[in-house]
Amino acid sequence: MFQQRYLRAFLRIPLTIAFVGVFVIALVRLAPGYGIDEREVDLRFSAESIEAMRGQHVPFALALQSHFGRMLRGQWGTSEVFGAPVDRLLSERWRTTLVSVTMGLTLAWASALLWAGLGSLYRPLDWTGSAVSISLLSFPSGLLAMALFLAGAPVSAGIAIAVFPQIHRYVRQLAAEALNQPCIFAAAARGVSRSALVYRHVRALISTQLWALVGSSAATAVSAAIPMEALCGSPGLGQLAWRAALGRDLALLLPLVLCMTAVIQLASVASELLQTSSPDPVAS
Amino acid sequence: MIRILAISVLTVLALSALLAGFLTPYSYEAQDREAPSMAPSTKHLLGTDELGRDRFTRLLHGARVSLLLAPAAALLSLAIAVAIGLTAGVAGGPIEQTLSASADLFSSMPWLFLLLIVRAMLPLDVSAWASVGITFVLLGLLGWPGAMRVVRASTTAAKSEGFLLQARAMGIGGPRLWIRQFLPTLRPVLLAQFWISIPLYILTEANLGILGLGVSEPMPSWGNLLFELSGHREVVDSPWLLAPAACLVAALLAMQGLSKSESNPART
Repeated sequence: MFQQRYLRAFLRIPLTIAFVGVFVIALVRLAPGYGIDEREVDLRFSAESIEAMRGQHVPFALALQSHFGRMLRGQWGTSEVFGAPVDRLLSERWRTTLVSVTMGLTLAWASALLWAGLGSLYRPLDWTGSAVSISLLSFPSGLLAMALFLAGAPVSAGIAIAVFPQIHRYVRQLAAEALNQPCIFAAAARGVSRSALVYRHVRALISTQLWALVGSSAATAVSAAIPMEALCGSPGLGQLAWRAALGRDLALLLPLVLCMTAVIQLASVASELLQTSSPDPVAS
Repeated sequence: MIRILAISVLTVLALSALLAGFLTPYSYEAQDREAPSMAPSTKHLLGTDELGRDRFTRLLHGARVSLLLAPAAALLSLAIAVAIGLTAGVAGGPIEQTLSASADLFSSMPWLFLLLIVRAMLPLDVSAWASVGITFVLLGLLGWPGAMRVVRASTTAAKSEGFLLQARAMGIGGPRLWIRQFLPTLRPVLLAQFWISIPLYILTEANLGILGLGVSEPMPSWGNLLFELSGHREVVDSPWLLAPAACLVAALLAMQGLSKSESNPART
């Protein structure tokens, strides 16, 4: 039973990557700009050389086979904007993004758990936490990035601010539901203090459900990394994606999107497996 | 109270967007080469940009794009969600499993990266309206999985409801049963989903705009008006540059308040 679940979870990663690849290539083919090339106005290229460079007459199925085949063989191509091999660009920059995203997520989780926990004890903190979450949800990450850049704050702080509302709202809601459980009422009736209720009993009740949020918070953090790194000048994968998009560099964008999908899927599968392998708090 | 305040803010913003032509004598693309980068004055309420275009006019016209097209994208994603969610809920079995799995697949895709790719593939001379349309249609096409899950769950739960059994006993069946009898009962859920999606789409467009990948020039949107901020370090000395950010945040806060009151009507 468990083995089947693990197998299904891990099979989802390559399946999603393949689906995203197909979807991206289909989107690109359907986009109104497909087949239009600014090199047509560059006198250094002839019509034949441009045709050879873009290879637009390749049928969809063949294009898919060629893209995936090359990637599986480790030939990720060369970026048109940077004039460097894609795998080298990715390997040079992934550490910066990993550090920013990990630090941002840690900061966001710690502050959201602390604020939601204290909010369960003190009503004013609950209201302010809720107001802060709603306010932060109304700020585009790009605007936050600009503000942080002007203030000289690190990218991880921006990622933390972008992820915080999602975690805080969920934890707050879970805590409120848990506080209304009969077992909590029974514990309160036996004289357990409010703080002990929150830190011992409520925490145990909601911990399993919190694992489910790890995957989606990682996805939010990865997405938030694009504007943060682009506008704060941090040399990570987000900035790479932005510059590739501005330069219409599909050779770089496609592998980048597939790598990001793999990371998001890994986080999602990990959170799912952690959730299913956690003991049932009520039964234990 | 929050609901009234939110509705008032949104009404003021929507009315100013709709009446932009009457509120300002300038066109959003008209350039005054004699007066570039001007500070606010009685002639130009929020000054002019580097090309001498009136910032106030561009702000009002930008509100049109953000405030009117985001609801259209939300309607599109809701329509897709209702069609797929209803089919999954009614059919059940393998069809439901397949449709739910595709919703999971869609929701696990890196949205912003996909939008970047499609936006990057648009030709440089794409018309402003085409870029607006493509951006929001894509948002609508990618945003259905969340609402679909809600519709599917509600449909599955409603299968054994008394009013549906009664309708069946009266001879109502097939699509009529689900579209005419059941769908109206989903109204509160769909409304809540609609209000939740709009700020999300406005935010995404704003983020694309800030990165210079949103709506094409010369068409203004709150997103591409914010792009100007990235080059201005003197924002503190020129606070009027923050007007698009203030409008955007006010609109989003109002929508958050409204969606909260829609999903929690008893508390308001």
